[in-house]
Amino acid sequence: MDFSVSCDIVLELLEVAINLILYTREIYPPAVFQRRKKYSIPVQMCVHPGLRSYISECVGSLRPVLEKGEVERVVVVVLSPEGTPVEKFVFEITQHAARPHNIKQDPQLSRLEEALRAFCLKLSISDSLLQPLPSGCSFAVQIHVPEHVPPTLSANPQNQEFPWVEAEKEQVEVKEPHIVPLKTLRTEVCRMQLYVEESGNKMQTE
Amino acid sequence: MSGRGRGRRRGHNSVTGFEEAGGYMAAKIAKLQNQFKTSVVSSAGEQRQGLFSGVAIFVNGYTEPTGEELKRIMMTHGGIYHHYYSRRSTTHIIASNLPDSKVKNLNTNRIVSPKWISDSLQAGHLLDYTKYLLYTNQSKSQPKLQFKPNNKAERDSQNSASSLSSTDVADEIPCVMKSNEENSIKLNTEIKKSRDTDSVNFKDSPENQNSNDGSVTVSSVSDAKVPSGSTSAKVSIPSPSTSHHMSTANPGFLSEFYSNSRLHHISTMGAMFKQYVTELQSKDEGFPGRKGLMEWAKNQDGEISLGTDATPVTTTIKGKKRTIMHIDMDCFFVSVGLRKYPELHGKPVAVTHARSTSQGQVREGMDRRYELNYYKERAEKRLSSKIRSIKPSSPAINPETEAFEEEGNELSENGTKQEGPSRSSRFSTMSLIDESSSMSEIASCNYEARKAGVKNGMFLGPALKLCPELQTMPYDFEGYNEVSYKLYDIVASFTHDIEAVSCDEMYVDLTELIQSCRVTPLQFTTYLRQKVQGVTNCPCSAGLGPNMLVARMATRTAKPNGQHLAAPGDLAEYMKDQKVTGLPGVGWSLGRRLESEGVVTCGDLQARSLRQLQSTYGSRTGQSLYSYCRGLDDRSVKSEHVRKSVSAEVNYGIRFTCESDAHKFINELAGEVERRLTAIKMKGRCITLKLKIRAKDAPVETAKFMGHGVCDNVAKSVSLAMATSLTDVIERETISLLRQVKANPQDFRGVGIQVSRLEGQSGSSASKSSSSASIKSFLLGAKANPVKKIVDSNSESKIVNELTLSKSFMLDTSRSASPKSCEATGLEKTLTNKSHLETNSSKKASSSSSTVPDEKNKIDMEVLQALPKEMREQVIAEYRHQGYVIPTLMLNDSIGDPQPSTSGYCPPLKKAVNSEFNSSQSSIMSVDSELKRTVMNDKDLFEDYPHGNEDMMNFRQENSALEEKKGHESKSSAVLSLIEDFSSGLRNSFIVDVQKNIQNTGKKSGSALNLVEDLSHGSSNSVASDAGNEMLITSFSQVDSSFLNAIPEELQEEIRQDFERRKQEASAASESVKDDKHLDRAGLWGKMDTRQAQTESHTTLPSRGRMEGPSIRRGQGGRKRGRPPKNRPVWQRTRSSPTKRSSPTKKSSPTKKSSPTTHTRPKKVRFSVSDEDVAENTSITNPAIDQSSTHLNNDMSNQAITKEAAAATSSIIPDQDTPHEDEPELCGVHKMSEVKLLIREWVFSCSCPEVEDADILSRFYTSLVTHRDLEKLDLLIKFLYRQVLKTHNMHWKSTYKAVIEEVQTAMMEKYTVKLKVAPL
Repeated sequence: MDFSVSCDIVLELLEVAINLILYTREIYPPAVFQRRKKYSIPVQMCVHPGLRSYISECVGSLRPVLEKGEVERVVVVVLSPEGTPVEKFVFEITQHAARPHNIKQDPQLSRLEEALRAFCLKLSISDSLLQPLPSGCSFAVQIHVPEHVPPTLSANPQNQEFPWVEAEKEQVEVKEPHIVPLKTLRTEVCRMQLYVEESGNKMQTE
Repeated sequence: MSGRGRGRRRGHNSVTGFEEAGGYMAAKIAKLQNQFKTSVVSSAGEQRQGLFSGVAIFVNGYTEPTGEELKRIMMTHGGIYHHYYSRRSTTHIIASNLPDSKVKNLNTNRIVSPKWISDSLQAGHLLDYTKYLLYTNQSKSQPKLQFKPNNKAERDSQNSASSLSSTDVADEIPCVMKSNEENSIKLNTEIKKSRDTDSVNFKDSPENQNSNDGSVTVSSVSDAKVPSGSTSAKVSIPSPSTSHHMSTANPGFLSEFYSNSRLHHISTMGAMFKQYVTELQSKDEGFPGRKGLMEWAKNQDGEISLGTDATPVTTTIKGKKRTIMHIDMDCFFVSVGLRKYPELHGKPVAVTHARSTSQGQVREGMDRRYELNYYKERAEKRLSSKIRSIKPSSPAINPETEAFEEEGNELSENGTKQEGPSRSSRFSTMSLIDESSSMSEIASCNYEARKAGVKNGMFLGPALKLCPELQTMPYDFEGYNEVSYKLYDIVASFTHDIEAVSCDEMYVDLTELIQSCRVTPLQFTTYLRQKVQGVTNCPCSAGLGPNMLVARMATRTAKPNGQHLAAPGDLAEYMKDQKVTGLPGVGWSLGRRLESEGVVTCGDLQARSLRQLQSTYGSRTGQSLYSYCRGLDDRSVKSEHVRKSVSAEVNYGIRFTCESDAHKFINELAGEVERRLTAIKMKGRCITLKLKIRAKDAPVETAKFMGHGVCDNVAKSVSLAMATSLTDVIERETISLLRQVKANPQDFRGVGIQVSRLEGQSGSSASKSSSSASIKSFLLGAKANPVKKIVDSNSESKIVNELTLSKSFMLDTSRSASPKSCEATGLEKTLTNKSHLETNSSKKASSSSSTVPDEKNKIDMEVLQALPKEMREQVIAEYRHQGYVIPTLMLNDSIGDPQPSTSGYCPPLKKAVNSEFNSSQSSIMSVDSELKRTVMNDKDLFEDYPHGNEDMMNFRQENSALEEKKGHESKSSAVLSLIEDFSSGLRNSFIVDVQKNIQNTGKKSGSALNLVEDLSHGSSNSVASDAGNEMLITSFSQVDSSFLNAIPEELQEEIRQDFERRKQEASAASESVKDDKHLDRAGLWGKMDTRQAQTESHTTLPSRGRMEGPSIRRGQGGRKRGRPPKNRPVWQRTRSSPTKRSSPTKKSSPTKKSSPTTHTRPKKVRFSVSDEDVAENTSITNPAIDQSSTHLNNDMSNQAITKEAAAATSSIIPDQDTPHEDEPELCGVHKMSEVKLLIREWVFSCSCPEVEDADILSRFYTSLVTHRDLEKLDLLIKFLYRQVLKTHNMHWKSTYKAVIEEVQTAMMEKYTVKLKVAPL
């Protein structure tokens, strides 16, 4: 299945979402963010060139995998100063062939936009659902793909500049985790579920 | 009043008139009129030639002068005075004051102040009464004109008592069209008629004229200034009626406008011919003209070689230089027109709407002098400001785009690209325009007229002053069309490198032509011109040059009726003498600016540096001026034109009275734009509203009749998210733009809608929109279907194959395989209720080994048939590889074969046979293939078998009887039991047969037939009978979209229709099947299938255990390999849901189809394969199934159990409907609000929840987990939490805890992480 078109939307959403996460979880100071309009709502986009390029490269390198519909999850891991994950924002992506009648009902893709908007809004209030993070956190982006994918990923010359590497085990597992579901996105383009795996005692890990 | 009476009176002209009702009034009126007439006669000496003739007044109330006085005036001046108002014959009501009710009652708008009479009397001629209207809802600008019928008309109307108001207007037209019989043509316009018939005045067509009742010559009301002695007849101006048909008040205005507007016509022709050229190119019929040319050239060469004219150009041509020809008809309109009026040859002729010597009438509110001055001033002001301005705005330099613009037949500021110089002529001849001269523009005039100073685009009035003998001729649109097409056809017969400019003008790139035909450009041009002259009878001129610019310049030199080759050697020199105004992009305005700087010729311009030019005129204009004046032009002859915008604009006759008028008009205009867009298959994303609004100080009435006068131009535009060509959208947007322009609709003088940023209908052009469009198409294309998956990716089909294959060897219903394969087929989706039942029942009977391949092959056939050949072969090869034998014969004639399925069902049978003898698999495989082949080959034979089968008949009867008893709900179970009884006999013989076959492997062919025969008893018979149905049911959406895309459109359509038809047939068939159980073929098929399967399962039971393990492993392995596991379940679910929905016995859920051999297996399968399955189903139905299948062989007892199970499940899970097919639901609801409501009610209604209820709830919650809808789960848990907290009920709390526990378990299974929930 080819998802080359729909993945544009997904990637865009991911980029927006990652920026929003970084902002709402205060992983970077608010000063490096700027308010922008996306999906007709204000979102925060990072203006720091390094960070911005990192995010966009991350998202961009997802494309080949996403196009084939092989991405299971995209995870934004929030790491404590010690490097242990305290929060995981998990984007579970289910790409599926769209049902044709839906697009007829949504010729301008306005419903899609609405859904994306709702997604972003929910994400931007996620801090109220989560416990505060310790200061000095960093983040990493992980993806979960089927086993056969990583070799093809590294083989892809496009990814030579920005390769995906196997995640370190200690960065994957959240201690004493529980799930805080945030939003389920159901669109013609894909189904995306966002939930947070949150460590039970973030502060204690400090 | 007494209309009735009068009406009757007409018939009887009785003396007294008292005989009838109402007779008195009639008689009285008649008497009064008679009196009036006699008194007129008595004072006849006084009577002046009817100043008021044709006017019949009725005086109402006190007037100044009094009624008596008015009566006297009418008497003396040929008018009629009515004592009683008659709607029909009274033309005017004279009053100084009228109550509103009376005005309404009178229902006329000709209520005129008495001053009109006295003023007219004073003026000596009838004035326009509109000025004196007492009450009117019409704007004053709506002219109202009265015509004076002469005495004869008057008499006529009186005698016949016919309506006076329908004053016959007739006039003699000067004999422009002195064609055949008539010396003068009488135009008889009836006022009333002109309102509804298409504008007579527009058409000027002699044919239209109906000279009835002795057409009368009338002198136009307003031509008081024309000397009465003038022999040239007077032309009456189109009669204005209450709603002038030339204004927007007329509903048909727009279409009329477009059918009459000269410029519109011309401009559409330009576009039309561009299109035409493209068409010609695409046809590519070669160049038939070339042969003639070459022959001609040969002769010519001979002459030339005899020493006329050496051709110096040839060398340069061969030097790879381009040769462009610009060909232009000489005064096109005139030459075409002259074909009709050959007697006008040699006389000055002009083409125009109006007739020569016509006089405009003076209309109220019009101040021509003012307007002209205003124009002049404004133009000069603008010009000077432009000249002064340091940063000049670059005027449009793109003649092409301008040519697309449709403009009203109007004094337009922008100028029409046609006649550049006309601009200046307008003002130079301004002094010749007076109050009454015609403002009709001359579209084209011939060289004789031009000699006298007449120019194209001039107004007729001044032109006549310059050239009094100027003859006019009407437009001949058909002629233009005809000649243009001929012209293009001729040129296209030589080459296709044509750039159409307009109907009579084009650029031709001769480079290739002259090389391949070995002629000189001049030779060719001569030949071409001869040919054009010969065919069209119209002269044309041609200019040749190394580029388009020079070619065009050369044409100017060549005219009239000549040709000129601008020698490419001394371009700059050549250009030196050319006027700058001749350069493309240099219009009147730029020309004036240049002139003011002392630049008249290109030579002057050449003296300027590029820098200078660019700084003065802008970088682009400067650049182009710089190169053009040197004769440099790198534009290439482009035959394909990309339109940049499409617009419809009307600047003529726009007179709105209110907002809604404007809206209505915009609606029409939008419709026109849509038509044009669709004509060129484009959509636009930018909509521009162009308005001409009467300048503040401009007079209300324009100099030109219904023209736009002096206007401010306003343009507003809006960009759309998506390209559109729809009237609705355009209209909506335009109206909202209109609202932004806060102007009085009365002041609108021109309205135009332009759509730009065009892109193809398919959204081909770049930019963002394309992505959205393609997303859409992607989504639409993603009608993706399961069948596609199989067909598409070999790997997938392999997986399924593997699965089914292994299963069939196992001879066991492998739980995972059967649902998967059947889902994969996507058949279920469209299968009817019945067939569901059947498949289900057969599955229950642990017969998957037969059904699986069955369905497999069903797909094969459908899909294969639909596939293109190569693809089909590929798939077939793949299947062969898997051990399937594809009925090739069938495939070949499958299309159009009424029962193509017969053989399509063979493979499953064979498979079944296979599985039975799994001990000797390999040998059987070969048998199989043999069998298949024979089956294929002996299709006829094969088809015969079922008929003679007595067993079958028996079975059928038995079956139907039973069914009648049980109703079709219990059919499946009934079938099961029936099968038991029935199959044993057959089974035995069957096995024997097969064994026999195996033994005889050597002489396969013969025995294979036997086998086939036996098999066909079992299933293929019924299969065959029903296969048609089954196969047909597949919906169109299941056909691979990529495959569809690959085939031509017509084919796609065909396929689609075919599917539609089949579907209908199928549903119809199943419908009838349902109703009529005796004819239950579908049912029969299902039973047979089951029976068959049953048979197999019996025979192969021992092998089951052994094969089981590996097969599962294989299946899973294949799956993993084939695709990401994630996609699979979702997909499966989708497929399976229809099954569930349609089957009343709940068994169809994927898990359930599995066979009962082990109880542990279902679970395994559930997680590995259909992990999204709704939990309820499995838990409840599994035992039932197990039971039913295990006891299958025993007796009827299991039937009851199955039924019970069915009932149980169906009560829990109500029918699901499609929209959220894979959403989990609680007691049939899946919407958030509904679920909440349900939970709330439940929590509040019972204090102590039942265990089962809690179960249901927790199952629902866990299904949310498995369904990956954590958000909903979270919200619902929180909701439940709140509800439970509110109750303060311990039972509930524990229930809540239990539910949460369940959820957490599910979460752990699915996510290995627990959900964060609020503790109680």
